[in-house]
Amino acid sequence: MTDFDYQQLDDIIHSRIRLAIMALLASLETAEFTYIREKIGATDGNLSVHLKKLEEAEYITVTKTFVDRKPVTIYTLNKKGRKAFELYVERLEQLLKQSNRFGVEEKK
Amino acid sequence: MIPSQSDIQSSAPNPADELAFIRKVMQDSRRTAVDNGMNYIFWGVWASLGAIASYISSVYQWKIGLYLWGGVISVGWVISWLIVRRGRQKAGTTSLANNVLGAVWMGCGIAMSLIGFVGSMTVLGTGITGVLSIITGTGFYISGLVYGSLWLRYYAAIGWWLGGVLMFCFPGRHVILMLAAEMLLFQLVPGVILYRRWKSEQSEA
Repeated sequence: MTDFDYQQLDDIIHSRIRLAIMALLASLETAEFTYIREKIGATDGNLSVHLKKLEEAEYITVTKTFVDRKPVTIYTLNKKGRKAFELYVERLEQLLKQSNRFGVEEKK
Repeated sequence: MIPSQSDIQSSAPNPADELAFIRKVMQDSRRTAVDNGMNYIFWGVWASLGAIASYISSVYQWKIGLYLWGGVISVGWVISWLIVRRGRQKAGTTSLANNVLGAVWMGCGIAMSLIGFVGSMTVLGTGITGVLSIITGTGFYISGLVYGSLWLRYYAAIGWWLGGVLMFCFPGRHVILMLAAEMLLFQLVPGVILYRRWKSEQSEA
């Protein structure tokens, strides 16, 4: 094998925008839609599509509430999502080690 | 903003870049989730005013100490809760660090309220201010760890602890003025510094 085996990586997380959402939520308890949008720098429509994908995969939990009579959508990374994110990071680290090993062997 | 739009939209070339990207997002979001110090500023001003009023009432023997502190503490709790609520709404996020800080100060606040009211009516008497000072120092010591701030741990915490020791060693009516001075030096000043740090992090984000 000369290349990275990306099939080992979770397809749902393996998109830069969804990865950014997962990383953001992994470091926080909860985050509102507007907060994520500001931090990620995505458009409303684009962000909604990616959040929906994560919600369908049951990686994030959505809570709709009202703050000062304004509707607010709050996202939380749930247990399944956290586990998937940790596994994704673990796989990346394994791939990195693998690539370093190949690099050393090729030099030899 | 955490990653740039081009960062997000580009495909990941290798695992090292992916890991660096994850680390950057997580570090930046943690950094922007710190407290704005408003509650420290509020309590620094509010409780020092309460302490000065309490000193004046004891000089003139008005015997309103318990009512005065009852008002200061209960109004303080309400305003403090409003500050936290507003802060969270404005931030649009909650983090574990914020929850830990909230729990630390809630625990310290309940302990101090119980000691202040029940203690003053039972056995503690004039030793109360020293005990309150040492509890506040402990709150700052833990908070400093959560904020990742050495100066908060060692400047504010040690200031409160030393103040508490001095209050035990030199008891008397003046300890209430020492409490007011501690509130300004070790509560208000750290609050202002935390606020300025938060402001600059907000403008960077």
